[in-house]
Amino acid sequence: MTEKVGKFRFLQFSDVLLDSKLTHPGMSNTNLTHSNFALPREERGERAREILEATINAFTFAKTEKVDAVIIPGGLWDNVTVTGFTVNTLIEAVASLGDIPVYIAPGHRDFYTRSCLYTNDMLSARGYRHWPANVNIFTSEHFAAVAHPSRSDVAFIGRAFSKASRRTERILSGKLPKLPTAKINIGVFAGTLESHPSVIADASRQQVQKPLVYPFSEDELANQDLTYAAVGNIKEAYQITTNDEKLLGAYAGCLAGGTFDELGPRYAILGEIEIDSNGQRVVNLVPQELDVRRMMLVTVDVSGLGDEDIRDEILVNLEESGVRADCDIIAINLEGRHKPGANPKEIADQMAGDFYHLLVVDNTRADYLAERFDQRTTEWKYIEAMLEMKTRAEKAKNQELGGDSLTGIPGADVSGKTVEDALYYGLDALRTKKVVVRNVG
Amino acid sequence: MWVERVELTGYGAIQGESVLFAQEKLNLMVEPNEYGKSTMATAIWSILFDFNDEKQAVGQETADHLSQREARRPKSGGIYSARMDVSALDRRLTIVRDFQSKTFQVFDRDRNNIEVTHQFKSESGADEIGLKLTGMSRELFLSTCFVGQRELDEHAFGGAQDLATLVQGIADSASPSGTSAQAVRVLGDTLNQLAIGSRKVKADNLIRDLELVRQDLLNKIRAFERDRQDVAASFDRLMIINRVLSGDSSRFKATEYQNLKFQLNDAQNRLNKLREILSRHKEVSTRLSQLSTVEPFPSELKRPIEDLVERRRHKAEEIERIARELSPQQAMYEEKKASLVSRSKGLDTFSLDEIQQVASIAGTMSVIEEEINDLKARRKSEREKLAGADASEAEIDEIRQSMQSLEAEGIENARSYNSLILAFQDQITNGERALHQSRAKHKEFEIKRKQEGEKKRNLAILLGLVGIIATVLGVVLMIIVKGAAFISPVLVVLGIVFLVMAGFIAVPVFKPDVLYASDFQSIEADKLRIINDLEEKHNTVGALELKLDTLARKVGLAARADLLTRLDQYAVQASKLKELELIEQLLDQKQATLTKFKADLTVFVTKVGKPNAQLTANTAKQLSQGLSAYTEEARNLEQTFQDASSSARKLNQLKDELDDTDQALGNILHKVGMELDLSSADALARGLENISERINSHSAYTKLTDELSSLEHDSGTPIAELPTVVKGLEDYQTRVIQQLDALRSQFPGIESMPPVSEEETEGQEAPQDLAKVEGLKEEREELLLRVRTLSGNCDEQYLTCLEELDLTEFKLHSAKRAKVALEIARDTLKRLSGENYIDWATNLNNIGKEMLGKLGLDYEEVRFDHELRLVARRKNQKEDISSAEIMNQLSIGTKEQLHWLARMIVARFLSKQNSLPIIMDEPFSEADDDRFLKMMRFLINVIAREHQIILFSCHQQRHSWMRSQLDDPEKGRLLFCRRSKT
Repeated sequence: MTEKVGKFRFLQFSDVLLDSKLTHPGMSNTNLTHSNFALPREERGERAREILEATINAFTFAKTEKVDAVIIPGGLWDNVTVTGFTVNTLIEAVASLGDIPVYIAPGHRDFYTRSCLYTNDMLSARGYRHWPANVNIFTSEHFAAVAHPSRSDVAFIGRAFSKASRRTERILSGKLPKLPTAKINIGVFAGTLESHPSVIADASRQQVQKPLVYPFSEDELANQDLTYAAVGNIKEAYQITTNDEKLLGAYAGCLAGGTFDELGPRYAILGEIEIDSNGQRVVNLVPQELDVRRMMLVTVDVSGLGDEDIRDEILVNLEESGVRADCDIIAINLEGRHKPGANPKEIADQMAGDFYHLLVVDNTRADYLAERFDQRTTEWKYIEAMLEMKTRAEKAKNQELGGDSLTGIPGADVSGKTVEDALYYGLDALRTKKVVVRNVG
Repeated sequence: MWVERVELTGYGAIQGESVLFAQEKLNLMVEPNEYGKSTMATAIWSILFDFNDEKQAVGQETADHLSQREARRPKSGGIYSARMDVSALDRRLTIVRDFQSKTFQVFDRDRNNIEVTHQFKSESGADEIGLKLTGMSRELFLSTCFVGQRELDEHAFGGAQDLATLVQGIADSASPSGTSAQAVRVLGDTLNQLAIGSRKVKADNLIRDLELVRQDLLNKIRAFERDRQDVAASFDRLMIINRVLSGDSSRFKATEYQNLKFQLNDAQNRLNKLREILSRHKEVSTRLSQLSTVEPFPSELKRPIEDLVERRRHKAEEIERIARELSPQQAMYEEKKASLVSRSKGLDTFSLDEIQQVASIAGTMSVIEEEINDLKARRKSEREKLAGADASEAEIDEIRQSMQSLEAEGIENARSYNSLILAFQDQITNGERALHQSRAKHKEFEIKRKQEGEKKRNLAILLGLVGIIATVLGVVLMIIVKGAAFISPVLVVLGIVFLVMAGFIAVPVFKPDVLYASDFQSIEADKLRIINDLEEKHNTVGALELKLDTLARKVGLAARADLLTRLDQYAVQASKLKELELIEQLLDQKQATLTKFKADLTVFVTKVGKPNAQLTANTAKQLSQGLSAYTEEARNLEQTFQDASSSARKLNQLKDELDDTDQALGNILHKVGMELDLSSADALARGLENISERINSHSAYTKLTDELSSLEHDSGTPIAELPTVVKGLEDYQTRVIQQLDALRSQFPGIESMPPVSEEETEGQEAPQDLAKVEGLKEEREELLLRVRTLSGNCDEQYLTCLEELDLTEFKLHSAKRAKVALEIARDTLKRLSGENYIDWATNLNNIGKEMLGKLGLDYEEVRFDHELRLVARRKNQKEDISSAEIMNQLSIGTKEQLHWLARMIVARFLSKQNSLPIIMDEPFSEADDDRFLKMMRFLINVIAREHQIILFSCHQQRHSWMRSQLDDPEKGRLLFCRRSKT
């Protein structure tokens, strides 16, 4: 028989990345979204403020729920762009928690340095108040164990990302330090679970694989025999379990989405740990949506449709996706080959007034190629020549791993996508005597 | 494909009516206005393709301008549909189209009318019946196989929508709404006017602007990154200062002691050096005062003067050496050369050009003399051929005059007359032969008529006898055999019939003229025509013979036979005379040339003192040989004394150069106020010595002055202030010694205390003395201010800049991609359309050539140029008529004719694989009767053989007249169609 340990409640959130960029660098071949999906400047500013509010809401929620601790395993902000105002607002918010301790493990983007805003020296130098006493920031890249101020049977074992640390190190390969008095050991760190669904998805999408940051496996985590591991560094929520469905820990995912890479509802985790008299631990996790908005991406395939049907198709897709018209930020990604003469973007744009914010990205083409062409016409010869050029361009690109000429090197190879653009620009000009160039306005 | 039947269930104003059409015929529907011809024409294509609703967008339909679909909606409001039986793809199909529901059905009539609609739909279910049956889109079909009302006249092809644009459109696209040229223009315009919000910007300018924005953002971001590094460095420094200000300073005092000791040593070294400089300065100043009388000398001229003097010396030495070596050889050379000149007798005065000229004259004169001799021999031979060996000049002149007389009187006319007489005589012979044949034919028909008459007579007798027997038998039976009374009327009637027949057949027997009447008429007409023709030709021959006689008398001959004989002789003599004249002309030319060369030679023989020498090629040759011998000898002499002459040339050259050097030296010295006496070598040597002395003195002065400057530079202060600086250093030395003493007394043992190591002071700076603590505090405040200011700036703008950079790079990337894509599209389209037009022009012109030959127009050529513009050329004219001239200068009828031909050519080309019906609604409205008939004949005889033609018109009289003009086979290919109730 083991002594029963009382319930321990906590609130976990991470990967908020306050003040990080809400745009994407250039054209991305690997992700669906690119800079065309960026919100306008004012909306970006507004969204950044809302994300900060969501974070403050989290602390308020923790206080309301009277949790025993708030755990932030990385990704609180982006070191490069975070402002003093944001950090000061956070400090004010955590100070309002009073005695509820806050455990912060600096992560990949908010890594710990001598001159970062996690240090009181820097806060002093910048003229801001220090982190309050209830905040415990892990500053070493080596795991350290800290006891809960009022529950000696609960310990937090955490580490920080530092600037110079080797990111490919397997952090859970060794033995973690634990306090002898602790019955509940909670891990707090940022790292990459190799079997996380989004890691697997990324690996299958990306041509060039980047090494994972601080990778670990379920087995390695299980070997540490932690009661629970609060893990950050991945934006998608996920419960880490053993093969026999025993819960080891969880990613809360990002608390609030700022771009169309962070779609749908986003959560903090309200957790409860209990160890019964048999020594069995019971961990309950309840997701809490603390952000007022969701970033929603709705892809609409308009293949074969004319103007009349496109509107209906968009409405059906919006309805099926479960968007909330009055509060969500929605991007409609129009795809497919519509009937020549149709204007899907115009139709979608006309709906903007019905939504809190609607962004329309047009990736459609007029379906010229489905038609039958007379092989004696210039049009046919043009299509044939352009398709051949496209095949050549794509083949060359695959062979030489070359970039697009549009990277700024004149005379370099032209990409297949550029040739495809050229094909449709030519057909538009021939058929409709009008060419609409996208993404330059 | 051909249209068999069109049934309009409910279409426009027509309900429940149908019309049948025939294959490979010209189906003509000629009806008055308002009958519904255009409705029927529209029905044919709309059943195949349906109406294009996209052409007239929703909302554009107005009360004044209905869409095509609405315009044909039944006025009664009933069913809106039509059906058409066609034969295509080796199948007989029925198409039923419901224009109301926009649906269609296809039935296979060869397979019990089973529905095969699915075979005529695309994978996506789109209507492809027209496309599959014709191989053309609706627009292409309407542009080629359908000729609507007034499409061919000037209104239809005026302005931008001209024929070339139409043909280009057809060549460019299956839906020829635009051409490649228009598309290329649109792409070019887009490149020059990209829509950026509400403004238009050239793609290059947009890219340049975005590059600038990007660069600006990158610069800002780099500045912010520097600021962030600065914040980090300032923060580190701040931390050090905080530690220093709050920590123990004895170790730092040890460092300060050591530093003071180092400074003391440094001050001592510097003091020593300055004292040394002071001493040297005094010494140099003394020496300079001694050289105060030295005249100033421009330093920039010193080097050039020294160089010139040196160069002069070298040249003088060289001259002396060469002169010494040269003198004996030179004398011998001069002697031999004088000997050669005295022997040459004026040959030495010839220049090289003149020698070549003489050689050339000798050669040319020799050739000309030979040619003259040759020509003279040929002249003699020709004269003999013309007038005999002993012919005098007078005899040849007589021949010449005789021929001139013949020429003056029209020798060519005489020949023509003679040729005509011969031709007519041939024709008369042929005519007589034809007359003979006609007479023979006449006789042949007379025999035939006789034979036919006999045959008919016999037949009439036979039938008459049978008729009489039957009649008699009938009467007899009626009277005698009552039982056979029923048959007697039959026999009587039969007998009468036979008798009538016998009478009818017997008519030619009694009136034989009716047999072969038309043939006899034809033969008689032929005979009459031939006889008339023969008479006419005989008259013409007589007239021509009369003319020939007149001509003969004019040239002094008795009759035309003499004239013709004379003409034969003339033909032979004329060529000989011409040959002779040619030789004489050549001879004159050659002699003139020879005279000219003789004049040239006179100058040269005078030069060698032989003005009276005979001017022949031989003389010229001798002179040329003499000149060659002299030149050879002179060259040998030169080669023998080549070294000597070379040395002599070099000597002269060196002397010239020495003079130049002296002159240059004199000029330079004149600039510095010194005059160099060049009159004698001694004076020159003295002058040079003076110059040398002056330059040396000035160099020494300059050197000392430079040393003074150098000393002042080394001291780091003006020499005048140097004693004060030395005094200051001595005072400083005293002060440092006092500080060291103070530190020793304040911190005993400080001499042996180790100073703070580099590791310990990494990033730190110890206060050098206690007074500097305040300085550190000030620095701390400055650093704090710096950290806060720079961080504040970054907070405000850094994120915005990074986001803007992302967006700008995306726009830049997109703009570059758009530019490249637009350029590729434009260039490819331009290139391919050019190639395709040439290809089309070749194919169309082949078809056009074939069609034009059958059409019998006034045009020799109707073709498409490489831009597919129509170009025509009239018969017997060299100049092309351009498309613009066709449009602006030709009559409406001609334009209509040419444009129709062009449409037929294009339609033929496009439907080569699959023969398609050609539908015409009121064509040739502007053509005159002759053209109209020609084009209709062409349609019937040529086009209708390969295409079904359906033509709608309201001109009944014209078409009736046209029919009357056609021959029977042509009429057989014409079908007048009418609508009938279903």
